[in-house]
Amino acid sequence: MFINKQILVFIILFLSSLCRSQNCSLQLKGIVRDEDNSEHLGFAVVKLLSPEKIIQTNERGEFVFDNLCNGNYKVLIQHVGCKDTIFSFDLLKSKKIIFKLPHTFNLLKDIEIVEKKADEVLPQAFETLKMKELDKSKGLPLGEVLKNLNGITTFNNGATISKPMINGMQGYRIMTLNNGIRQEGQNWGNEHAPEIDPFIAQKITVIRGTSTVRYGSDAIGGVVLIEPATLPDSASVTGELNTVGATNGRSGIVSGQLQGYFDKIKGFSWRVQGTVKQAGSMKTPTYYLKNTGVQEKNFSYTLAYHGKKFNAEIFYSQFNSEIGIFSSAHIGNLTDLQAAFNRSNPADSSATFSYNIDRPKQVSEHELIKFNFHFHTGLRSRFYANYAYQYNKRQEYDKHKPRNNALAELNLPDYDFRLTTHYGEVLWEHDYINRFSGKFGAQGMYQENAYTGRYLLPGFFSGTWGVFAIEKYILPKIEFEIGARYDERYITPYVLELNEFVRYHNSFSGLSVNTGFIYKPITNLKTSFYAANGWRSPSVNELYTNGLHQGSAAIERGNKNLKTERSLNLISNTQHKFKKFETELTIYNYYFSNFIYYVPADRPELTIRGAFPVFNYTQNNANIFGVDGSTKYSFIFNLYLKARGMIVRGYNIDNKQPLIYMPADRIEGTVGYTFKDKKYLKESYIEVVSQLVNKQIRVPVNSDFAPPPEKYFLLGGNLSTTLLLKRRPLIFTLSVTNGLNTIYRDYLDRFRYYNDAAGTNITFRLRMPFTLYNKNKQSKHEK
Amino acid sequence: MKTTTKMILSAAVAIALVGVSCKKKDDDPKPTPTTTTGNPPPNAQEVITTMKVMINDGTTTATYFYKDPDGDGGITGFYGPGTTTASAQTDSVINLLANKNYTVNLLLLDETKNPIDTISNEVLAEAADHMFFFNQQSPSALPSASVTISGTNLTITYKDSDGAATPKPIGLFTEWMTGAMTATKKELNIELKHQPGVKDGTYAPGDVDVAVPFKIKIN
Repeated sequence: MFINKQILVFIILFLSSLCRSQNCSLQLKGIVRDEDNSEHLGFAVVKLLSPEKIIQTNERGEFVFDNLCNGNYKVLIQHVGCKDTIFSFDLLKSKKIIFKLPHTFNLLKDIEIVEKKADEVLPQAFETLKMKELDKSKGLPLGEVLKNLNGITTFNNGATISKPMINGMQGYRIMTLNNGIRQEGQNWGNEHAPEIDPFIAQKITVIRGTSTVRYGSDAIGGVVLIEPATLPDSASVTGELNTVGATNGRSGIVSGQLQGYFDKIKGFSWRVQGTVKQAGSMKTPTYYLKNTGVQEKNFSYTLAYHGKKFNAEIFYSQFNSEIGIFSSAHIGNLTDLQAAFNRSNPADSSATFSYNIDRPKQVSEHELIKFNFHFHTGLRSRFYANYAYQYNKRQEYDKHKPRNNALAELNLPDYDFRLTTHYGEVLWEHDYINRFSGKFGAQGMYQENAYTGRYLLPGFFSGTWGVFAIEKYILPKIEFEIGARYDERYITPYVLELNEFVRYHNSFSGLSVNTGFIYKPITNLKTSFYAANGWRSPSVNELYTNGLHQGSAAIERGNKNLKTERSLNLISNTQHKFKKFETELTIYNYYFSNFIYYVPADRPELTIRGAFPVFNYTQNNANIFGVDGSTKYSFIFNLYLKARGMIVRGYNIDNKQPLIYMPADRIEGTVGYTFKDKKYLKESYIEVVSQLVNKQIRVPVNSDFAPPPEKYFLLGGNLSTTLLLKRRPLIFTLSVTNGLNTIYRDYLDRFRYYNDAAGTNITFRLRMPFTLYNKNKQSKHEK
Repeated sequence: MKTTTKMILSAAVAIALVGVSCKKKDDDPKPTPTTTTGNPPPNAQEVITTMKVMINDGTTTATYFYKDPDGDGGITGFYGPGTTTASAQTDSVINLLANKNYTVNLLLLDETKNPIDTISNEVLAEAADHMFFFNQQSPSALPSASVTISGTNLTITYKDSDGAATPKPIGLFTEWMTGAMTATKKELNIELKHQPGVKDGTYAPGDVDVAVPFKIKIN
């Protein structure tokens, strides 16, 4: 019966007739260590799950399992005074693994594998980008980095402003967590990208449509987790230097970090990190885009204490950027807009290269201070308390300077927003007690938004609090999860009406529930299914925005009668790995009642500066359905093939129209070759990536300035190698995007109205990890 | 010893960074407006609410206007004469008689201020950086700077000069000459462009400060 099911699954999912012939003579050697002090843990219980085998470590913390077949394994390790932890890893050949106990949020931990870091099959419906994949996109904005994950696209304003989109949703429907703290910026603007330095991340995880109960009610689309590397746990000073240079925009980036663990003062570790970026005018295949430079200066630091009784951490980060907006994409009025559409080349297409950033531009600053405190409440449970302060400053400069020369000379921003956020949470989690693991917590947030300059978004006070509970029941082949949260939120804005400020008060509350299971019938096959019922309160801009938004060349009008948006979503994800064949498939459906979006008014509105199109916020019932997947096959001769594709369908049920701004269907194919490791050259590969993006034909009538652009095909590639000099690795990566210098425009790029997308870009990256000092070197590079 | 130095250095860097983060933000605005009634909070933004076109036929002056009570965005603008509320006229026709000469003055106001601010005086003061255009047409050079509005029998001649080394017109004061009667009305778009340092008498450079589409009918 079971065998039949297994075969059936194979046939359905992979249409493969490959039979199971496995190498069952592999050996796993392991060392169990204390994560805090690297002490080798003798007499720890090591339990291999499916097939079940139990062993104890010797006094040096070592253990061995023989006669294992290749595949994915999980081990549960228990030791007195440490947290029970399950580790997951792939075994393709005999290897030696260092297991570190305990702490961190996840049940599943990162493990240090001496020979090669394996790709784990994760236990939840999420996807992760790690160092190796991140190496291919270092130096790009966060949104572009995330594009390497299935189901993620971006909403762009040219190549430099990129907002991530998950399952066709963006803005307030997705949430970004920077080092565990929800990023709070002026999320409402289509041209407001998240103010995060991607170089902070060692690991980026996207959780789609599920598990969002932990983080808040709004994130219907999904959550992006930006996680830095774990801090060192033994006396050492290590670091990393990244340099990136790219031909298009002639950009240069230097990013470095230094981290250490104090030798004399037990328990303290630290990190400092910083990035400097400078880029100039981007170039399309035929002309330069005037004023599209970027400048960034970011830094962060961490100081952590890991003690016997408690752990504490302080994290601070600052992000500063100045982004030039293509001057021809900044539109005066409807007449200018029409003229811009009718031009084949933009008005400023004769510009030459420059690093100068002039009007129009955005200047933003983001600060985050986080205090984190946790202690063990028992052998298998912990209590966390976190507080974070965020300050977001965003200044937007119109192309147009004030008419008055004295005012023009001051060069003030036309919009200047300051958003201050206080966030606090307490959390208690327990793991693996009688097959249950779970989390309970409460969160509170208080926000103030103020502005100077032109009126668009009112000043407001807002507060949110919520409680949540998640429990997971874990069996060897199946895990069940149920979670619920309750939130209340209020917004008090000061709205300008007929030249007078009127104070409003709105309050919203709601319950979110999600439930699901993960089924792992056989090794390397994992399928998960989640159902969630969530809600999102209308945001301040959807309720009250009123004014001319130069950034989108439109008058936007909020609707103070908007009600809470509710969603019912189902998502299923299947991951399979069989020998050299890896596949992943995700299917999802969101049903929304009172889906909030904006619609164009019947006719443009006349102002003293000419006519502008008007967009009004409204709500309807809607549905978003999507399928995406990827597959990878590794041939002999180290050749591999990868394919990726996605389809998203948004539909407005009430007026029987497609939803606007849904990503077009796309497919991506990769052919790559992995070179054999040499003495000095390791992990070398070359790959060619081709991408075909179809024309978006499903658009609502009369709601866009211009019809969607034609389909396009892009060719690119990556070349990477790790050079070992005196056992010190140097990682080189060379990437080419739009290799054929194709002239194209993308539907989800707002600049498509005005200009072509960027032409060929060749990026050269060098990553250099280094060790300045290491007390127990032998423990770091054990052979 | 060497490592201790490193540790101390690192700690010093960390402490220095804490200092950087604690900068003051005293200049920050507050979400609560400074006044809850009357004028919006003081800000450095300029507002132009009204354009008046005053047409004199030698004896009487007819005034046409467009008023956007709070500048662009917000409350919807409307045309006059004869109306005072936003629910009114959205399309104004300037009626002229055939074969006649008119002198025309343009007036720009900021009516959100009390007393009303006459923006056209500032335009005059910064004449070398500003110019009015009609239907985006660039006039011939001074002294006889003029444009012929195509599709209707109207010629507009600039009667003022910015007094620059190579003088260029401003357009606050113009002369309109009509020809024969026309059957239909024709769009007349009056625009003020801000052309600091780039004013050359043509429409292309600079930014649009004001753009109001009127209609012309020659009776």
